Amino acid sequence: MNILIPDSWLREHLETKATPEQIAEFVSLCGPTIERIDVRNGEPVYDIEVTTNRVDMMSVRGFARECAAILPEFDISASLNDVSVPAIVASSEPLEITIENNAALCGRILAVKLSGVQMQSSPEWLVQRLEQVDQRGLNNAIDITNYVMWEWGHPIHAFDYDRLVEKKIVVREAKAGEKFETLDLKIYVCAGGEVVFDDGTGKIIDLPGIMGTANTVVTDKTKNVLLWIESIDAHKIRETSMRHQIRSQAAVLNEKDVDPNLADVTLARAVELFELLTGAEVTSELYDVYPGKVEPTMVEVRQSKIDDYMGISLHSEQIKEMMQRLEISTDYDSKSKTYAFLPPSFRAADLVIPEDFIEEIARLYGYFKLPSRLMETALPVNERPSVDEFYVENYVKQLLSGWGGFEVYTYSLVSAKLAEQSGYSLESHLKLANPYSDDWQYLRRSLMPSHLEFMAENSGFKGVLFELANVYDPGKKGELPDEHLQLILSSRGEYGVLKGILEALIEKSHGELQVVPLEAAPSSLWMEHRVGEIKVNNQSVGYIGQVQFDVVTYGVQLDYVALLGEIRRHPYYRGMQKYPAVIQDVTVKLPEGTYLGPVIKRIYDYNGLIKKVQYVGVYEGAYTFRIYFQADDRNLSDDDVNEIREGLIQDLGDL
Amino acid sequence: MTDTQIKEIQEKAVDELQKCQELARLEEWRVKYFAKKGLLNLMFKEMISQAKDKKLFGQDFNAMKQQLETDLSDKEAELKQERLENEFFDVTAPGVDPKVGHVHPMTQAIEEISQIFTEIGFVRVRYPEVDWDWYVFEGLNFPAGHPARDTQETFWVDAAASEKYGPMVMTTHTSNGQVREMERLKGQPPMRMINIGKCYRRQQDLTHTHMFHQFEGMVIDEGITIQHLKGTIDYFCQRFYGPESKSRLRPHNFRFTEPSFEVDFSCTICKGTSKLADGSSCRMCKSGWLEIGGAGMIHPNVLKAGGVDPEKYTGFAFGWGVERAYTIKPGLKVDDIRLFYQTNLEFLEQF
Repeated sequence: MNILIPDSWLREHLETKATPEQIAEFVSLCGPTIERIDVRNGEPVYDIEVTTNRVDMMSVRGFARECAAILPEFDISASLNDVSVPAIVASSEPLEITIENNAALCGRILAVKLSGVQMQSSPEWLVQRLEQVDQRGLNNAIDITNYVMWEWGHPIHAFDYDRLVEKKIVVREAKAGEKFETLDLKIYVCAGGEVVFDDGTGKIIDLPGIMGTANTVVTDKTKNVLLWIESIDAHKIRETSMRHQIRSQAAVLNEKDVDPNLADVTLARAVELFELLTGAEVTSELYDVYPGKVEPTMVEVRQSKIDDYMGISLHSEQIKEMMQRLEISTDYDSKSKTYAFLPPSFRAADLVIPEDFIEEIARLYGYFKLPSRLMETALPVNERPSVDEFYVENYVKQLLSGWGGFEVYTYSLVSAKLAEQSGYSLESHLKLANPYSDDWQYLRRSLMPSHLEFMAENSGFKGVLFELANVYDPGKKGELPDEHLQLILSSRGEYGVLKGILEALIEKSHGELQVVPLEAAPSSLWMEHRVGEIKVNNQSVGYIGQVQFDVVTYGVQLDYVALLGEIRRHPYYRGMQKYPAVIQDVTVKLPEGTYLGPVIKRIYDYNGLIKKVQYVGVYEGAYTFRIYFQADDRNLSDDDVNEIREGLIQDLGDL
Repeated sequence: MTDTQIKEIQEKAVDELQKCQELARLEEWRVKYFAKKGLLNLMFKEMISQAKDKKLFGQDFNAMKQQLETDLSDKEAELKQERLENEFFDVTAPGVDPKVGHVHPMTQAIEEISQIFTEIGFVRVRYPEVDWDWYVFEGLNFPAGHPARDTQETFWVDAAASEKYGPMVMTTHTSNGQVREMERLKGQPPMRMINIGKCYRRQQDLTHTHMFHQFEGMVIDEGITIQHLKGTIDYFCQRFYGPESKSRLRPHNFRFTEPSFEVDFSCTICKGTSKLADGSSCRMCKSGWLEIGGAGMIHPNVLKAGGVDPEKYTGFAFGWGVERAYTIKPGLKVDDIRLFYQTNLEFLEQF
C-alpha cells in the first residue's frame, strides 16, 4: 500500500538537514521504498510504498520515525521531534451514551464529547495538506479526522452526537440481510458477521473502522460531536471491507492491526484541532475501555544467530544503538551472548520471532554494505533427479526447430469446445471453480485442439508446429491430477514432411521407429483409418495420423516420459564395415491399400545381409526399393546377392 | 638419333597439350601420356632397348618428361585462371532455405537461466502446476484468510480437497517447489534448487497473462547468509545481463522469508545512470534500477514445514518472472506480454 507525505509536514516531526533526495535515496535502501517525489503546491511530496506488515509507517509520524532511525546510518543527523500534543482536559460530566462492547469483536473504545461545534470549511492550510495527499476537503469536522489519521496513524470517527437519538451504541455482528447506508449514500446488504454498531433498537448506525453511516455522520447542521476511536478485530475489518468493496483509508489501515495505543495521541490531537478550528469544547469525561490491551513480548536472540544471517558479527553496542533508534529496548547478556529485545507496541504484531529482529538489525546496517560471495558449501550431488530429462528436452527442441518446426506455447486452460475436441469427455476434465474467462476454464488433456485453433487462426501456415507441455488427467478423489508432459507436432502441410521429422528425431535418438496402423482410432481426436501407433524400440510412445478432416491437418502425439525412456544420447557403435555393400533396386507390384511400413520391415527381416532399405518411389502400382546387401566378413558376389534377391521377390509376391 | 626422336615426341605432346581448352581434355592428355600404360612409358621401354648409351638416353628422356610435367601444370593453372575469370559465379545469390524453424523465446530464456544456475551447482527440478494449498500457501507461512488466497488472485480447482493438504489450486508461484524439494531431500542439506515452471494468476492484461513462467532458486545449508544470496544474485545478473550488471536489495515483506528483499538490477539500457547517450532521461527504469522480483532468507516456519531444522540450517530463496527477466535484456522490450502465448506467427518468427 502507498502513502503520500508532504515534505513540510514530515519536517514538523523530523528534525534533519537531509534533502528530500537524500531522504528518498537512503530511506529506500534501509526501509520503505520512496517510489517518487512529486511536486504539489510547490513542495516535494513523497510517494511511499509501505509493506503490509508496517502499518505503523502509514502516517507522517510513523514515517518520520523511520527516517530518524535510518538517516544516522548515513552520517546524517536526524531525530524525531517531541511534538507535544496537549493532553485532553476532560470534563467531569459522564458520557451520556450507553456503550455495550463485545470484547471479542472490539479491543478498545476511546471517546469524548465535544459541544459548541461550528461547522464550516476548514482553513486553507488544512485543505491544502489534505489535497497534497489526495484527500478531499469537506468540512472542518471530517477534515480534522482525516488529518489526524494521516498524521498519527489511527483512524478516528466523528459522530453527530445529537443524531445518536437512542444514546446507545451496541457492538455486535450483523445478521444476513440487514441493511445499512454509508455516508456516501450507498445502501449495502449484510452477508452476516460484519461488525456493526446498533443503536439498541436493532438499527445499524455505523460500520466501525471502515465508514460512517448516513444516519449518524456529521452534517453542516451539527452542533455536538462524539469523537470516537475503536479497535475492531482486523480480520473482520478485512472480510467486511473486501466483501462490500469499501476500501476506505480507515479500512486499509484497520485491517492491518493498527496499534490501539496510538488512539490516545490521535484523539488528543483531534480535540486540539477541534478546539482550534471549530470552537468546540470538551463536555464529557474521557471514555476509555481497553479489554484488548496486550503488553509486547520480549524476545531473546543469540548473537550467533544474528551472525549466521549476516555473515559478519556486529558489536553489541552497535546493535543496541540501532535498536534504540527503532524504539526497541535492548538488554544484552555478555556471558550468554544473548539479546533480550522488547518491541514498542506499534511493532508488537510484526516483531515476534528472532528473525524479525535480525531483519531490523540487518536492514539498518545496510544490505548494500554486506559482501557478495558465492556459497562455499558442498554441491548437492546426493539424490539428484534424472539429469537427462532437461538436456533431452532442449536437444529435441533444437532438433525440431532445426528441421523447420515452430515452437509454440499455448494455454493450459482451455474452453469447453477445445476440451471436447481432445477426445475425452468434458466431465472427465478438471475445471476451475473461479475461472477468469470461459476461454480458460478446463485443464486440458490434450495439446492438439489448441494447435488446431492456432491453425484455424493462421490458415495460410503450412509449416510444422511443436509444443512440449503438461496435460492433466484427473486423479482419484483427494489426489492431485496425473500431470505429465506431452510432445506434439502438427501441420497442414504434407504428411510426408511431418513423418520425416518424426523419423529423423528417432534416428537422432538412436532408436528404431515403427508405425503400426490402427483400425480403430484411439480417440475421437484422430480420424478413423488414418492413425497409427508410434513404437520406438518396440515400446509404444504415441500416435501419428490425421486429426482434422475438412481442413486436412496431421499430428504427432508423444508421451514424453515414454519417449524419454527410449532416447539414447549415444549410438551403439557398430564399428567400420570392412567390405563394400552391393546396392540393388528391387521393384514389386503390391496390391492397393498395402501399408509400406510393414513391407519395408519385412524386407529387413528377410535376410541378415540386408543392411539398409530405402523407398525410392511408386509407378502404377509398382514399388521400387533400393536395397543394400552387405556382409561383415566377406565381399558379396553378384551371385550371392541375386540368390537373396530372387527369394525376396518371391516372398514379397506372397503379399 | 634418339635426340630427335625425343624432340619429336615432345613437340607432338606439347602441341596436343596446347590444344586442350578444358580441364577435362587436359586430364585425358595426362592419362594418354603419363598413365602407367601411357605413351611415355611405352615409348621409353621401346626406345631404351635400342639406345646406345642407355644412361644418357634415360637422362634425356626424363628431362623431357619433367618438362612436359611442368608444361602440364602451367596449362592447368592457365585453364583454371581462365575459367575463374570468365565464368560468372554469383557469391551474393540468395541461398536455398534450409527450413529455418523457431525455438520459442520462453524456451530460450529458460535454457539460459537453467544453464547459469547449473554452472554454480544448482539442480534443476520441476514440480506440479496443480498443487495443494499446503504446498502453495500454508506450508509457506500464509495464514488462512490471507489476501493471496482471495479468489481475486488464485485459481481454485473444482475438485475434492485433501484432508491433509487442503484444497486444490493452480500454483500462483514456483515457491510451491520449496517445501517439496526439502521433502525430496528428506530435510537434509546441501540443497541448491532451481525450479522453473508455469504459474497461474487470475489476471489478464497488457503486462499480465493468466499463465506465465517463474524461476525459483533455493539454497539451504549450514552457514548460509545474506552474503550468499547477494553472491548468487550477482552471479546471475552478470551472466544474464553482462559483467557490468549490478544488483541491489531493498527491504520488503513476504510471508515465507525473513528478512525479505525486493531485488533490483542496474538498468540494462542506461547502465544504471538513468540517462541515455543523448542526455535525455531513460524511460525504461526507475532512477537507473529495474525491479526483478522478491527474495529473502527462508522463514523458519517454512524450513520446519519441509522437515529442515531451523536451529542448524539457514537458507535463502528468490522467485522471479521469466518473462520479466527476459524482456529487460536490451532489444527485447516486448510491450504486450500476451504475445508470448498468442497464436501469432509474426511474433514467433522473430525468435
